[in-house]
Amino acid sequence: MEKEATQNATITQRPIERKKAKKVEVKHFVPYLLVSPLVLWIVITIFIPLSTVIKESFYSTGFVGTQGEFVGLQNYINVFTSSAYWGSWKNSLLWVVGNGLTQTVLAFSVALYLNNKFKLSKFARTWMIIPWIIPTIVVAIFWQWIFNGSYGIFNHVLMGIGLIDQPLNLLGDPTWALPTIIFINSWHWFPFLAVIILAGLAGIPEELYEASAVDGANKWQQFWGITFPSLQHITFALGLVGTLWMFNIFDVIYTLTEGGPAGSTTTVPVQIYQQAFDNYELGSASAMSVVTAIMMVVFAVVFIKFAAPKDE
Amino acid sequence: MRVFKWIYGILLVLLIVFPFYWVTISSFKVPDQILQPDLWPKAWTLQHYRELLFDTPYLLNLKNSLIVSFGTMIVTVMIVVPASYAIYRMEFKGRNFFYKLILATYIFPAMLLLVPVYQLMSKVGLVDSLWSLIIMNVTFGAPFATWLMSGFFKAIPKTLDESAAIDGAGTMRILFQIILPLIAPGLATIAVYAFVVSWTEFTFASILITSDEYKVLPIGLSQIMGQYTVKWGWTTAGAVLTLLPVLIFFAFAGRYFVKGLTEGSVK
Repeated sequence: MEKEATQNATITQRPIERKKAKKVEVKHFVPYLLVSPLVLWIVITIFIPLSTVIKESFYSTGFVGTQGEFVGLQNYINVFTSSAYWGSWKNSLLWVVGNGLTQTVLAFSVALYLNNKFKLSKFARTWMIIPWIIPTIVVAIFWQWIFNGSYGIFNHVLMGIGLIDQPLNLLGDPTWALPTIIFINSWHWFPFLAVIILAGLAGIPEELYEASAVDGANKWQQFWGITFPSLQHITFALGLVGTLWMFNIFDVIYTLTEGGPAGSTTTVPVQIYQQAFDNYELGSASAMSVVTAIMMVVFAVVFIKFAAPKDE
Repeated sequence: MRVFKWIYGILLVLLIVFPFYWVTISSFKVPDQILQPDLWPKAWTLQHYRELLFDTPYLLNLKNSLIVSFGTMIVTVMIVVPASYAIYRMEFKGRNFFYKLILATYIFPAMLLLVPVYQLMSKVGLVDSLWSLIIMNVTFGAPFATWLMSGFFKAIPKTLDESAAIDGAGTMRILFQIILPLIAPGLATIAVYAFVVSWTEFTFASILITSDEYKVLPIGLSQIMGQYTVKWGWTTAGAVLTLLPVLIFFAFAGRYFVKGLTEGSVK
């Protein structure tokens, strides 16, 4: 706004100077020139493929690369009556909520810890993010090796201290598989959250805490009264983007369990993948994709409407 | 209270460090001891590493991963910086629309795009080419990178470009000579971010690349894992050699990255 005002002022003040006027004119297309590579990139790689998905959802295509017949809404009818698809929504909800809770708790505790200055705090702030920068497949190997059902160190330790008599096959057990991958994925992601929360914590003025301490507030009251409200922009952004991010996660689930055992870790993305690439039902996989995308948009709109920080 | 704090701190450190330690130490154990839960190897060997380097396509995978990651990094910086400069520092019609369009990419699960992107890439002949991975990794890295840049641009006073403009500097000159040096930490941040996104991407790499010649590390590693489930020596050594390059990269750029992530996300 301010900028435009200055530009206009330049024009009105010195209308005779043609050189200046020309420069202002040139500026009009410059921003478009600057954004266009990125916007075109996104349109080509996301929005054009999305339109293909919509088209494909009305066809009976089986294999990728073949052409099916137009079937109208048949794929959608199949999706809405598919217990497998809605079952995967149940897993996805558990997945998103489980990850949200685990990561928030871990990230907050790490962030509150590192918000104090101590000898190695700078070093720790930089290096604690390493679980997040390593490939998912490495994360999968780490924990598969630790949780291995016959010789994993986890079982050795638990048996050693007498908590269990039989080794647990965490990833192969329908009850334990989902919580186990939620833990593994949270391990992968909480450092990233912790960095963002630390950033928010650093922005809170120290005086707020000092003043409330004078008023006799304890640590817990300070957390709920000062820390938490000060972070509302960050929690909003993470609530929105984080939820979408977590919902979309595929690789860690697929490499660790492929959606099993007994479908217990088949989340929506895994279900769509299997429908397209294992069952060769591209048409209905596309219909699933469209329904999923609409639900994501609805989620985003509702979330923004009700959870957006009020002061903006 | 103090003791509790210490115990909790140690547990957190263990949680982060132990998996790294355990896999690394296992990769040096001799084959008949690797399944033993010893915290320190009874005998050390480099056998798994030697086999991995010479009997598996690890080196080829590494080369491909490096090309894709550096490629993604360069392209991301090249398209995100001008776009974020326009979005965060210029007023123009549709600014808000473009901003929302870029952020809207978060909403759509990458999974939805897997099939149509495959079809699109095969139409233009890019299936089984490292370019297809660079293209998609840029797509997935760019929106967050753009968002990260907002903090860096906001930290520069607006009067700076205005006075430069009044002095007659063109937009490009303002961007390159005045703004770019000031947002250098931001460039480093999104560069590292793009590298990491690329280094870790798995799903598209597993669909878009079909021949062994162009497979990237995560895919190569998952094949080693799947084909030789008993070969924990290869798997653990492979994990170490896949995370090592990012660790080295991070040792140089990590400080700027975490600082940049911090600054970019709050302002």
